[in-house]
Parts: sequence; C-alpha cells; structure tokens
Amino acid sequence: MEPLDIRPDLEALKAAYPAVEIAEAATGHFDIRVSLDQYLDVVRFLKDRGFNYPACITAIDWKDRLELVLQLYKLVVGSRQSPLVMVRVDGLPREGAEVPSVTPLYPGLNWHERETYDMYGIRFQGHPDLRRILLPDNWQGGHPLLKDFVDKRPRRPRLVRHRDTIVSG
Amino acid sequence: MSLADLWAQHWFRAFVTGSLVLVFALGNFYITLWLERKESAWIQNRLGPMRAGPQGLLQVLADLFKLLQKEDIVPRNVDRILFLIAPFVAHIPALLIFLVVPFGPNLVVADYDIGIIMIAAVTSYAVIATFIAGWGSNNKYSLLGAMRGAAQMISYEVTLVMSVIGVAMMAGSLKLSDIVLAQAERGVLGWYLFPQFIGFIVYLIASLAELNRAPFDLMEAESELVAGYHTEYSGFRFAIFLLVEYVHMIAWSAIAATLFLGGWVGPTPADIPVIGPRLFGWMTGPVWDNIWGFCWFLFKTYLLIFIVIWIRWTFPRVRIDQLMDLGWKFLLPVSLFNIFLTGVMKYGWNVLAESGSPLRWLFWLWR
Amino acid sequence: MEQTRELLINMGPQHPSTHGVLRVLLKLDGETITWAEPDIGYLHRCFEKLSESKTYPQVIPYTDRTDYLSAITNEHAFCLAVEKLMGIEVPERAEYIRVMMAELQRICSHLLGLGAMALDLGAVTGFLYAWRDREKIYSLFERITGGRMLYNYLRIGGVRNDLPEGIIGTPRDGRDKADKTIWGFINYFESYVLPEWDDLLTNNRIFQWRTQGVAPLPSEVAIAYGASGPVLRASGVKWDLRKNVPYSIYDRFEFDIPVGKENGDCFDRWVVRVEEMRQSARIVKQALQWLAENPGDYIAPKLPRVLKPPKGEVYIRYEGSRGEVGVHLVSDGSANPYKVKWRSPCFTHLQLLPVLAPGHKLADMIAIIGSIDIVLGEVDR
Repeated sequence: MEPLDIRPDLEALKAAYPAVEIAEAATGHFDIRVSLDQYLDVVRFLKDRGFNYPACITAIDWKDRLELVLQLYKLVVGSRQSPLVMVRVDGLPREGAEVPSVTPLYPGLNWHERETYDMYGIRFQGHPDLRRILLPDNWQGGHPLLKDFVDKRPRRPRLVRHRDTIVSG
Repeated sequence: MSLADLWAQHWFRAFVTGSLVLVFALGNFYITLWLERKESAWIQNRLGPMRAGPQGLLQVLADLFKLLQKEDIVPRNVDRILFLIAPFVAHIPALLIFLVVPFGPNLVVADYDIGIIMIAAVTSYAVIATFIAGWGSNNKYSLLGAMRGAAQMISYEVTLVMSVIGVAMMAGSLKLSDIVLAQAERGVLGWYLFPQFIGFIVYLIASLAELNRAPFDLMEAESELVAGYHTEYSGFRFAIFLLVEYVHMIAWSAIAATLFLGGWVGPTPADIPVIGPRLFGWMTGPVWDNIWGFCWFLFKTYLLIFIVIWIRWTFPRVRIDQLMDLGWKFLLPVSLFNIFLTGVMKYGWNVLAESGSPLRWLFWLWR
Repeated sequence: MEQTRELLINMGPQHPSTHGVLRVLLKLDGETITWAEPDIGYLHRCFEKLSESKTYPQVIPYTDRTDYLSAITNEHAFCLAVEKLMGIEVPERAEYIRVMMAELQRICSHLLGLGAMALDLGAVTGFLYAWRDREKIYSLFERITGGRMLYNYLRIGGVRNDLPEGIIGTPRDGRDKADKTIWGFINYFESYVLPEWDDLLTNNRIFQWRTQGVAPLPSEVAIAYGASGPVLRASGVKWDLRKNVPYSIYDRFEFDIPVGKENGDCFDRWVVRVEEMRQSARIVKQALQWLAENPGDYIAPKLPRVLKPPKGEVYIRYEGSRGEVGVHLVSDGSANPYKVKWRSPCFTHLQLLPVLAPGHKLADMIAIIGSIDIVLGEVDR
C-alpha cells in the first residue's frame, strides 16, 4: 500500500486561502496555521477534501495567549500512513476567547470542545450544548488547565497522623 | 380430651398440618438456598461457601442471622403501610400452594377436587405483592420492576394454566392426588412427562417466568433495575422476599414433579422385581408407602430445582418485549396445540384400542 | 385531566452496570428510551494537569491509571510519543516485548469487556469465566513486571526488565501451564477459551436476541462521531491503526482486521472483540517465536538521566484496546511536558450514547453501554 498523500489537498488549501501557513513538523504531522476568522472556512474546506475523521480538539496555553489545536485526518479504508493535520488558531486571548464551533461539521468533537471549554475557558460559538463536562456544573474555580490556575478551594485537613504526635506508652 | 379427639377438631388439624407445611417449606428453603450457592459456584469454577460448617452448610443460617440483625429501614417517602405489608402479602401465596400438593399417598393437607384451579388462583396473588412492593417503595426502579412483574406474571399465568390442561385431560381430573394415581399405573412410562412432553417444556419455561427466575428475572433484573421491586428493602423484609422467591421455586418444582413426573410414585425398591421384595420387602405397608413416596417426591422436586438453578446460571436475561413475544406468540399457541394434540391422541386411542389395528400403538402413550 | 408523562430516571453513578461511575439521565416512555444524556466527571483525577508537573518518566505510571484495564497499551502510547519527540531508537527485543505485552493486555482487556457485557445481560457465569482467564494473564504479568494491574513496565526507550527465565515456554505447553508460560496461556486460550465463549454466549439464542439489531451504528455515523477501535470496525469500517498507520513494529506481524456488517449492532461489536482476541493471540505467537529465537539482553538504550526532549509537538495515534488513544504532547525543552492531552476512545464513544439509545428499551441501554466497553477511568482521566 502506498502511503496516503495529502499534499494536493494542502496545496489546494493554500491556493484557496493564501493567508494559511502550512508546515510539516519534524514529528510527521502537518501544521495548518489559520487566523480566527478563516478557521471555520478552512475546516469546512478540509472536510470537503475528505478529512473525515475528527481525532481531537484541544488548546495550548502559551502563558500569554491560547492556541486552539484541531487534529484531523483522512480515514480511508485500505490507505496507509494517513497523515495527521493540526489546524491551529494562535493568539487567542487567555480570557473570554471565542471561536466558532466545528461540532456541526464533526459531531464527534462535541465533547472534546466541551472539555476544551471546561479546561481552558474557550467558548465555542454555535456549539449545541456548551456546558462544563468533567468539572461540576457549578464549578467556580476557573479553568484548570490554564498555567496560572490555582486551586482556591479550602484545604482539607490531612488525614495522615504524624509520627511525632503518637504518644508512646 | 385425647389426641384422637383433638385430631378430629378441624382447627387442630389445620394448625398441625399447616405448621408441618411451613416447616417443610422453610427447611427446603434453607437447602435450596444452599444448593443455589453451591451449584452456582460449581458452574463458575468457584467453591462457594466453605467456611461456615461442612461445605458451608451453615452459611445460609449465618446470612439469615445477619439479615435479622440489620436495622429495619423504612425510607422516608414510601407509602408506609404498603411498604411494610408487601413482604408478608408476598409469602402467603407461595405457602398456600403446598396445601394441595400430595407429598405421599396419604400426605396431603387439603385434597381439593379443583387442585389445579386452586394453584392457578392462588399464584395470581403473587403479582399483587410484587406490585404493592414496587408501588409502595416510591422508587422509579421499583416501579419499573413492578410494572414488568405485573405484565410478565399475568401473561404467563395464562400459558401456565394452558400447559397444565393437557395433564388434566389425561387424568380426567383436576385433583392432584388423582393425577398422581393416574400416573402410577405403568411405572415410568406412565408419567405424563412423555405424553405431555410439550406441556412439560412449556410449563418449565412459563414457571421460570412466573417465578422471576433467570433468564426471566426481569422484575428484579440486577444489572438493569438494581433490584427491581425490592430495591428499597433491607434487613429482614428483604430476607422474606428472598424466602418467598425460593419457596415459590420449591412449590413450582413440587407441582411439576406431581403433574409430570408422577409425584410420589416411583420405581421404589419395593416395586422392583427380584431385588425389591427380597431386600426391601419388609418396607411395605401404609407407613412405608408414605415414606417411600415422600422420598421419591423430594427427589423429583430437587431434580427440577437443580435444573432451574442450572438454567439460571447459564443463560443471559431476555428483554421485556421478547419475553412477551415468547409468552403470547410462541408458548401460548404451542400449549394450545398441546391441548389439541392430547385430545386427538386420546380420542385415537379410544377409537382404536378395541380394534386389533397396529396403528393403535401410536396412541399408546396417551391412553 | 390524566396525562401520560415521560419518566425521568437517573441511572448511576451508583448502579450495578454502569461500569464504574457513569451517570446517565434517561427519559422513558414506558420501557422505551426517548432521550439519554450521559453525565461524566465523577472519576476526574486531573491526569493532564498532573502530568505537567512531572518529568517524562514520571508520567508513565499515571498513564496506567487512565484506562486501568489496559495499562500496557497506554504506557506504550505515551512512550511512543516521547520517543518520537526525542528520536530515540528502541532496541528490537524491547519492541517485541512491548508488542507482545500490549497484545496480551488487549486480550485481557477484551476478556473483561466481554465478561462485563455478559454480566450486564444477565449471564453471570460468562463474567466469572472471563475473570478466570484474566487471572492467568495477570499471574503472567505479575512475573514479568511485578505488578498485576498497573505495571509501570515500559520505559522511555525500552522496557524495564527482560522477560524472566522460562516464561515463554514452548509451543507444546498445554492447559496445565496456562498461568505459568505465555505459550501455555496462548494454547489454552485458543483451544479452550475462545470455543467456550462461542458456545456459551456468541451462539446462545437468548444472547443473540438481546444483542442482534440493538443499537445499529451506521459506518458514516461512526466515523463522524470519531468512533474507533472495535466500535468502528463493528460498523464495517476496516480500519486498524496497527495496520493503517503502523507504529512500533506492527508492520512485521501477520494478522487480520475483523469487521462487522455495514450497520454494526451490539452483536457485531461483541463478535469483533472476540475475533480481535484471536488475532491478538496470533500476534503474540509470532512475537514469542521471535523472542525465543533471538535471545539478548539489550532492552533499553542508554539515555541521559534527565530527559529533555527538544521543543516540539507530537500527536501519536495508538490502537488501544478500546480504540484510538491519542497522545498530544507539547514539549518546551524542559524536563516536564508542557502539555499532555490524552484523547481517550471511551470519552469519544460515550458521545454515541444519546445517538444510539433512543428508541430502544431500558434493558438495551445496558447492552449498549456494555458493547461500547467504556472504562470510566479513561473517560474522566
């Protein structure tokens, strides 16, 4: 089986959206850097070109900004080495970021987007059910995967008995 | 007042025989519960209870004591009266069945002429207890279990009675002791298991459903409804539900043994030619007949209990709609066919018995 | 005026068959489900946050605890990610040991998944048979790794220790050596366990009633919802990352990809899992052959004491026991991972529940949860 070649798709993408930056990473995947306003169009374009499998969506906290990372690849039966593309939206504000949701395109990303919202506070516009998913619905403590997250809950007393408190005899 | 006079009194006889039936039911409950635990363990590569007593025989006792000691919890939002009486309502029909079962030639508490009808009537009450428990618990799982139970038990009631009608046709009587005597004539081949084989299978399946035993234990389906109608019960009320379940199982097995396996009649050693009269010849007479009869009856009952437990630990559970389909669309027509078949075959024998036609042997089982 | 209303029922988090602490809200019309909504997060242990404060080797034990029924495959996925990031060459023998362990782990995990599904459908005995055989794998694993369930056996670049002496056994080992040698287990498994599963459940009429036609999942829906692993293959999509995106040394092994029909139902998912165990046994046999022929003791390369991968990013797609495990690792050049994202198959599969459940009976819900074989440890991480 020949390894699946996605370069034509990426070239077509570059032709359609010249502002998009495409680079092959050393670890084998393709990075597609898009701006926020082109994000949904690019994802739609990729879906039309056969990137049918939504692997994951997540974000990275670069301390001064957030970066949204969407992983897609082509699931073609009988293909080999289908490369992964990462659609990246950099420069999102660390608080109150809003990006369009791709759940209508890839229903499988529904919970992944919810998790990203839960963990990073990125709001997905157009998401059918944007609620917290892993943390409780009434969680007030912020978004835990942000690098400056501090657990503000009161400390529970340690239940470990210390050795010096044991009175012998 | 002598004992004989006392025996003549109805209330005294009722008291004594009723107590004996209760003792019989409870004793067998104990053994059956132990057997279930052991048998499931054998099936599943386990040992089962081993520590309490030899082969874990005292384990059931320990468990029952544990359940007795537990706090009697009545949840806050239940319908209190219904919740409290449900276990006791449940165990009445289970015990009442034993009234008509002939344990031996003369060992029967109340030999009604309408024994089979009586059984059908009494067991219908079981569904009331289930529904009371499910409704009174004020729990959605319990309610679902009760709904399933009502649907299931009412529909299988019909099938069950239909499967037994063949036996009544064969014996020409609804009285259980008559049915047993009718099977006594020709040894093993005279048992209604053979001419009523379809009826027996239908009875077995339908009684499993009626008993809520797996694969039809939908109303307490552990993995779906937690514990169904007795989710909210704990302590001794739960123990009573457990008791009811097993007493029911024993009762149904006893009735199956009576109707299809010849009840207390059996190829007893005293009946066996050559060996019987020599070795066991002195074991005859009315007392010994009753003892032999009781032993054979118990043996057959436990054979059926063994099969029922075996089935439980082998099969997955069916779904409620499949259960209904099985009951109404398959078992009921089959049991109706069995009635038809029994009628035809009996008629065939009656017509052909006098003639020398070799065809008559086709109908021999149904004569 | 009387009015029928739907019954809102709360299944879990304490329920006998939600495989841990899953909570599903259900609306019932009689017995028929009209709406289902899973609620997760009861087992959230902050794996991703925790990893950011650990060094790379320290993360490995935590990966064990995500999908705790399939620990080796998780370790393997994470190690692959770090190795790819750093460009580490893994010794051949270590690769074979890894693959063999991963496939044994897959058998072990599928056994439990199938057993739990059988239990949910009311066949308690099937569950205990699964545990009996899992126990044998666990005693093998205990001898190899020292742990029974959570191993911390794989190291970045290799494995912690070589196989103990005599554990491979010979291809003639039979049932009596099933918990002593791997060959013994594989022979026992192929000649005894798999036929038993077929007899006891796969060909059981009641079991087929309960699973066939329940919750069919069309292949295009499966792909759109990101289903992977046995769930995807049961829908007829012949896609196995071990074959289609080969990692480690899987391209050296011969095995088939079992698939179900176009609209895979619970029964297909069951059958695919049973078949996968058979294929895993094939892979283990090939690995054992190689390991017996090529003794050696080079099982881990010499690495610096503190691992500092270069700046970069990697996403590993790994065919775990339950589907595609994705490890998204971001390194900033320090000794701790900058970000770890664990794309768990169970989390993704659980989204299917609201799609699959409506229209089926309450009892089918159990079959569906069992057939997508979720592990809440991995769903919540």
